Amino acid sequence: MSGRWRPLTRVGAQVWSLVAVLALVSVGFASLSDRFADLDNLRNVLLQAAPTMIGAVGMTLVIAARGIDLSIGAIANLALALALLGAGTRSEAALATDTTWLVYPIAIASGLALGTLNAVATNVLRLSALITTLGTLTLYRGLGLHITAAGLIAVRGPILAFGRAQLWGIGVPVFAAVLMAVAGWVFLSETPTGRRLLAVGGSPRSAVETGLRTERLLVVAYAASGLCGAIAGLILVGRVGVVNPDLGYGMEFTVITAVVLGGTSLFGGRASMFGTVLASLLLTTIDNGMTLIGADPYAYDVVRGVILLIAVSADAASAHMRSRRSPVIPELRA
Amino acid sequence: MTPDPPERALLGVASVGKSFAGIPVLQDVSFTADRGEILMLVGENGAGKSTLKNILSGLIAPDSGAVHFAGRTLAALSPADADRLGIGTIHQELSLFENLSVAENIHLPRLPQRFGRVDRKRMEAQSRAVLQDRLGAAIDPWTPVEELSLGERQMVEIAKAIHRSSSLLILDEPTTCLSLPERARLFDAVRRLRDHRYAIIYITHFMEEVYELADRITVLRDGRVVGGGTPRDMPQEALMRRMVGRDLAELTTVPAAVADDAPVMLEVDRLGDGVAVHEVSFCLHAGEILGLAGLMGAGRSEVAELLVGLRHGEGRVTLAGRAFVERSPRMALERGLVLVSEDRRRDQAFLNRAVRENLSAAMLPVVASGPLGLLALDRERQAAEQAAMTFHVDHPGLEAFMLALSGGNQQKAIVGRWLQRAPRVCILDEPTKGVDIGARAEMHRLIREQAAAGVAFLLISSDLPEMMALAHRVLVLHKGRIVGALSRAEAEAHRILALASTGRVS
Repeated sequence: MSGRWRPLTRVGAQVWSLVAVLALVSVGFASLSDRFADLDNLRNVLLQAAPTMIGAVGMTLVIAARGIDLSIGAIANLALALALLGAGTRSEAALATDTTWLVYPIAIASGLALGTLNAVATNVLRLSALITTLGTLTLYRGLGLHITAAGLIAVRGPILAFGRAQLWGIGVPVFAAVLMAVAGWVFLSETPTGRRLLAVGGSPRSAVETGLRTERLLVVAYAASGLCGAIAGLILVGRVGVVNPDLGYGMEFTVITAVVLGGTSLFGGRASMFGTVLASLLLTTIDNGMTLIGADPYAYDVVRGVILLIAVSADAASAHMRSRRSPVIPELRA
Repeated sequence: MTPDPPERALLGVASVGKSFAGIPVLQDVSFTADRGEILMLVGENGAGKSTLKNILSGLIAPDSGAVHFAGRTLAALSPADADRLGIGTIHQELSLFENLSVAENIHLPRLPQRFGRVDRKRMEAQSRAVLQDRLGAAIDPWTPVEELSLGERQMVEIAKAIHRSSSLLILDEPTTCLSLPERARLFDAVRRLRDHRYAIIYITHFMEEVYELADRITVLRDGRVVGGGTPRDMPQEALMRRMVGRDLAELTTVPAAVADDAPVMLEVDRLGDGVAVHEVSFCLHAGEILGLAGLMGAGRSEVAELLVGLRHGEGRVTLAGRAFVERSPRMALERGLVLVSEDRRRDQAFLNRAVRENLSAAMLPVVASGPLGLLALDRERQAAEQAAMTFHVDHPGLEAFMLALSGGNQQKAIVGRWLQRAPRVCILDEPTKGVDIGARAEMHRLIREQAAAGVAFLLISSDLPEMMALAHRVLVLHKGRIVGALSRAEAEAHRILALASTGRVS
């Protein structure tokens, strides 16, 4: 082995195969629908991909630390509900709720707090994150529905600015997503905290014995995931102009699929931010293309389910290969 | 020799005691370790060495006593204290991050940084300094640990401890996964560190290591210090006697001889799976205990799995005179071949069920009666009572939860569960791993009794004293092949070890 530093967030074969599949899928849709390759539609794909991508960036950190956050979509919902509660006014006559700029800090703070709560609950209860965040998924969603009375709330004012703003003809959320992904990549591969997070994901037992503050590191990961959920929520609301009960519904599924498909291992310790970005783009492209060719909406779920299974199997297979390569610890006591 | 008063040495352990669940594992333990010396901490499994190590590295707090370090007195150390005082520990199980590079492993949790980013240059330089200059190991700092051999991983673990420590280094059985050359290199490194004025506590029970490295020796037995001195004060025989104590009798007990006309119960001809096991042949007589030794990964458990059909492969197996062709765990059981694997013991205790149910679990078809096949509770109870007696399972009552039994008794209950089926051949994989000395002796008694009654045993164990105490013959596996068959008289620890680690008699 050569004496060079090799990043764990490496651009490997997985990334190239994602690029190939993305190209293949795009060519396919372009030949089936003449609207797919339209510049407007491509812009639209990028914009649609932004919330998934942002959520997936946060989820990458959580999964890299051998955790999972099922509540990310519920956080998107509750953070926006809280933002409306704190910075929205509903006049009797008007049809829409007026908002102030305060929705942004409130939504972001809520996302961070709800994510932190996930980590604290996992740390305190010592349960698997799968179970705790399944609990908070229901809890957060219930609270969100309670605040919004489970109704559609049309919104106007600054809350729409972020989701709808454009720069050089491209939606600002797209830039935000790229920025978040770059930040996530730098965090994981360049900062000591990022390395420690990968260490915890690689071997929780060694982490304890090495004196890593595992619990604090998990707070960082889950708070990041909550933050990303809230930002994704802001983008989605900005796009449709409504806070609806379905906001963030099923987001965890898409986001986790993107992360695993991108090459981040569900077994922890290995992450690919670039893969996450590409996989988010691929999933959105498939959604978009299937709509354009007029596919049965239920077929989306079938396709997404199959993709998740393929991604998870590939992950398990490569983990199995690694474990076969690594020697067993021998012992002989005399 | 008069030891320094504990306050004056670098490390003074003073009357330290520790109990787990009311069972004392350390009692009134006192010793010192000073800069520039290697202290050998020797003792059998379960003597309390690991507990002591955990106290010194701050992982557990003692119940009583104190630790003096560099003039300060502490009731207990935290991991942070150990870190601050420059105490480094190499645990028996490696605590490495396979997904990260060697350099990152050496430096975690405190990675050097510049402007908030990881400083790779410094990390590389420091890693090279430790690996090459201190240990003389040619390992590239940027290799991911998952690509290293076991010996290299051990070196990284040591480098990591050296990097973190400045005064005291504790090594817990560091040679268990090293080849002989790697072992020599480790010894050099340890001596070099002593010459760099480190205090070194080296935990082992390999005699040859003791005399190769020791400046002083402290012997632990059953949680107490039972002796100490320089290697000259303590020749090997005296040391052995101290170490083994009341168990000395065990070592000299000879298992009942196998009758000359004992029938062959198991005959194995060129068994293999092409991967982990190659051309293994042996035969096992009724009443014989045949040891299967080797490093872990040498294929011992795989041989057992092949025999009962958990693993597929080629080769002929003859069981009690009849060919055993369609091998499966179910068929094996029917033909009187049982495997009590390590996993089986761990996974098969129904902790929150009654002792009765635990004992009868393998006998249900026999206990169930009548046309409907319903369980007859009284018959089940009788069978369980009988089993508890035969297999020396001490229990507070048959209806008590399994949880109420000590670990050793749980172990006996589970081994007993399978022995009740009166097997012809019983394969035991690590039968006493993780039990205390008393339970270990009880388990040995059980195995000897059953062998005397005609059961043939294939004993897989990493515990060499156990192997030497029980086995009539020892087969040594190396990389899936049998590299030696030793009679009871020939089966000495160093010979088994040499065969197991190199495949040759050194």
